[in-house]
Amino acid sequence: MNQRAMRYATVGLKPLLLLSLLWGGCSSSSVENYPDRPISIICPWSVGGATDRTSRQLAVFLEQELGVPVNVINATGGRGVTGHSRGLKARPDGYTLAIITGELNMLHWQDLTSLTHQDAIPIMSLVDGAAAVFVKKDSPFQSMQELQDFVKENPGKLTATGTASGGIWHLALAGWLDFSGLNADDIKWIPMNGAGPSLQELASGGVDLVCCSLPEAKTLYESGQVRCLGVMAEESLAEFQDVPTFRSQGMDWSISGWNGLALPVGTPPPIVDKISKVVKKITSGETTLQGKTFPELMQAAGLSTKYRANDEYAQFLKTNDKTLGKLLTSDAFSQMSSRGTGPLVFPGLLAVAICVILGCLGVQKKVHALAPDVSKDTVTKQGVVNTVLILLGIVAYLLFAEELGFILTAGAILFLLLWKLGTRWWMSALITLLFIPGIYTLFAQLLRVPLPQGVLGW
Amino acid sequence: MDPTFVTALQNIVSPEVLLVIFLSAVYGLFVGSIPGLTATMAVALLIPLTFYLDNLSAIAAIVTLEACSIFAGDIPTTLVRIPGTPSSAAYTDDAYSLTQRGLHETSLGVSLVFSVAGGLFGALVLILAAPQLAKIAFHFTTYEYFWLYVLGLSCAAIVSTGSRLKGALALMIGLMFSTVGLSEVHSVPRFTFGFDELFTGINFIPAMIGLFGLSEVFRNCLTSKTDEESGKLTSAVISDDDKSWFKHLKPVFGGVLPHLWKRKFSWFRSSCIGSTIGMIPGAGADIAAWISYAVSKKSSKTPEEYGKGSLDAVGDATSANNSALAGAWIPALVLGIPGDSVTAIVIGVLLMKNITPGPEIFNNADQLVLVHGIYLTFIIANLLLIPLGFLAIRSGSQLVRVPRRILMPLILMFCVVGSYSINGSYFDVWVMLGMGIIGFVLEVFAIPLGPVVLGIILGGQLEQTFVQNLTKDDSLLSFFNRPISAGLGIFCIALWLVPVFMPLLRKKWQSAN
Repeated sequence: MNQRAMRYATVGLKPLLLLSLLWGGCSSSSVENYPDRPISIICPWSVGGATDRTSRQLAVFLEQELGVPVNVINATGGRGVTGHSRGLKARPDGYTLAIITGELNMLHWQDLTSLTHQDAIPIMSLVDGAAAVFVKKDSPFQSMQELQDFVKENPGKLTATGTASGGIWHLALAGWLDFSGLNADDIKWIPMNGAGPSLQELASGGVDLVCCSLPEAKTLYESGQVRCLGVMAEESLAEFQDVPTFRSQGMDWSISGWNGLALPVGTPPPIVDKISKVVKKITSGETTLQGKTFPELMQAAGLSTKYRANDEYAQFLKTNDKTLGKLLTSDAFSQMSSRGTGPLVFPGLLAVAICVILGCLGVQKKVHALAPDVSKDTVTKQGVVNTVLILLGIVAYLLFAEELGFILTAGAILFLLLWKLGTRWWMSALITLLFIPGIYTLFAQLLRVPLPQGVLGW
Repeated sequence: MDPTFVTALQNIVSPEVLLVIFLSAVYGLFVGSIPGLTATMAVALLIPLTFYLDNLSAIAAIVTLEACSIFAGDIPTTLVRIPGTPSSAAYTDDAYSLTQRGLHETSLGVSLVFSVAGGLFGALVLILAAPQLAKIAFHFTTYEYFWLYVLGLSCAAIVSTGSRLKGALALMIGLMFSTVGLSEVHSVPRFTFGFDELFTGINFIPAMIGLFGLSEVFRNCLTSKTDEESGKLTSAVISDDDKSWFKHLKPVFGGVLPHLWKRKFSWFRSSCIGSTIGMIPGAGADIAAWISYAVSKKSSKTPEEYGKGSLDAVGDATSANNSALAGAWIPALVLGIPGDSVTAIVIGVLLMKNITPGPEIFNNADQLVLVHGIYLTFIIANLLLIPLGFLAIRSGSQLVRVPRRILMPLILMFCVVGSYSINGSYFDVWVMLGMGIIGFVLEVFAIPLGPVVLGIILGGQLEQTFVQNLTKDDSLLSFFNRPISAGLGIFCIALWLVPVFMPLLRKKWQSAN
């Protein structure tokens, strides 16, 4: 675009922009016209896993039904604390939906968070995957009984993995050991970051067993790389008929990991109703996407679903919390995660290394060598003022963006910075007027980043 | 010719698929060149769209997007010293130094041509060696991973500019940052100071934006650099009155092809490193770039130029990161185990489209068409990168003409929005701010920033494998129990000991003479 065309475009843009701002102000989000802007789903686990797959599948259907973009945000880490906190402590306006998983009923028993299922308005449970035990194809174990006998004779010899220590699959395996009259740590649990890396570790011979849900191991299982000794479900799974249950091997033990959709407590009832209705429609298979319904697509991905709506789901959460709490507070589990290398060993080693290096640098007297290009340029008084302005700009954004919205805050800060750094005021205004709507369109519309909306909705 | 290959070719040259490839290339270049937005994020944002596409278009879109965004990461790296993607962090100093000398177009030309060459090499490896080579990586356990991380980190410390001790210090600082948060292996929160947000630890994307981007803004502002410098920069740019296309092509491509020919062996070596690292699950393009950079510096005749603007460094590292992309697809397709975060998403997409990745994908005729489609897309995407990448370089080059007093507030806005966008969290903006200040202080003491970033990225995995190994067996000797881990371990230890004993040996040798 040449200069003249650009000038023309900006002149034409201004009234349009003002209009759109006014329009945005009028239609600021209210309960009646919900939803009128992008919705985020907070998924507490990483991309590629079963929970992520569920969230993304649901997001596509919600997007079609609600008519606004629905983004999935993977707020991972902290064994689910991060994602659950962000989802359930979000502003309860219906624009942040939470995917909750079995960990919600475990973390508070382990004193990792104060969040419980009472902080969530349950909408619909989606996936319910029973734990299963896998061995490598050349493993000597053919059944759970053989495994149990071996562990009885050789406690502490075998290693297993599947998730972090104290996680749902660890609990499943330790629970079975406890149920069989063995010690919960008779099989060494190697903490790992999810089922994917755990299965790889199993296939490469790094561990003896993996405990995770069946669909998570679908690929390796169907290609014959791993063998499944049993699934901890009440009855055998429709997708995997040939896998024996624990019960059929004489062990009355079942446990499963689940996920579902919830809203933060405090969400207005009309919005809760609306989402409940839409989700019910989706999960009952009334809506299709390219000729496939939600349950069909979930089944194709190998995920075992169990749909429980509102009250039924709430009831399930309550009993599930009790069951898991009983397990986690029992003597067998209370010491489960407090073994092995301590949490401060690694940082301690690093601290020692830093001291040694600083010592060496001190001996070499090189600590105070200034970087060449910093020492060359002199720090000016104006420079210090400018730097402080930049710092204040960031802090101001952090303090006001949530209330005022992205466009107002970023626009004001950018204009003031440009002006104070020596650009003429009309030039600063022009750059701001071009750049802020541009960056907003780019991030919020094209890239679908949920930028702060503020009281006016922009 | 293989009939499935012909079918794949016919499918891929259909106008719809080609349009999808073109659009994703543009999108990829765009996202890659914005700091804070990674290739992984771009692919994740594309997921809802892939439901509306047929299988081949969906996969083609992801492949193209990936290849283009990894190259595009070099554009802000070179022009404003902010790595557009983590894969560019290894050669940030080199690329930016070249810009300061007015050689940004040459540097970007080298980035582009070596990226394309590396990408094509990676595609070739994917096509020829997929099943065979994946078998080796399949034997990696936590012991081998541990040594692999140690190797990657050691390389970062060794290649850093200036004193090696300062490189090591920077690495330790980065590793220290990585221990913040709820440890995956212990389930104990560490150094969180009561902030719930810190349970996740320090996200390395805002950290990187802060360390490289914000600290640069501070440095520029503090010294009130006038516009003389940007005037100096534009002197190398072709003057405006010359409108012929050739004159525009020359600064970008002129001399690049001879350079590629001259460095064909190092290109081959870097690409081999790239595809091998890419194949190893968990180690992606960024580690490939670091290791390739280290090897390149070791074998260079002019190692003193590395970090101060070496074209060789840029070329080698960038061909490695691009060839790693195709490598990562090998374990994903053959075993259903992701090679990097993008292929982790790809596996999800494949499963949703009723394709189960695994060895049998190579036996099923329908699915083999798709596999061949992936091969072809890698080739098409890389070839398409030449014209589109050139246009991206040209438009990016306009950046250096903008006066700094205007550029700095704009970069600041990108830093803020970029660090916010990765998770939609204000806390990440605070992290960016804190890291910006830390980065500025470290630079004052001439401590390199690259190893800090790598320490934050790899620290968690290093500690995890370390603890996992010790949980399996208390003895440190178990780290050398398996053949591959023993080999890697001895190699790493040798790498540390050589610089310590080299001066002694040299002294002895000299006195003997």
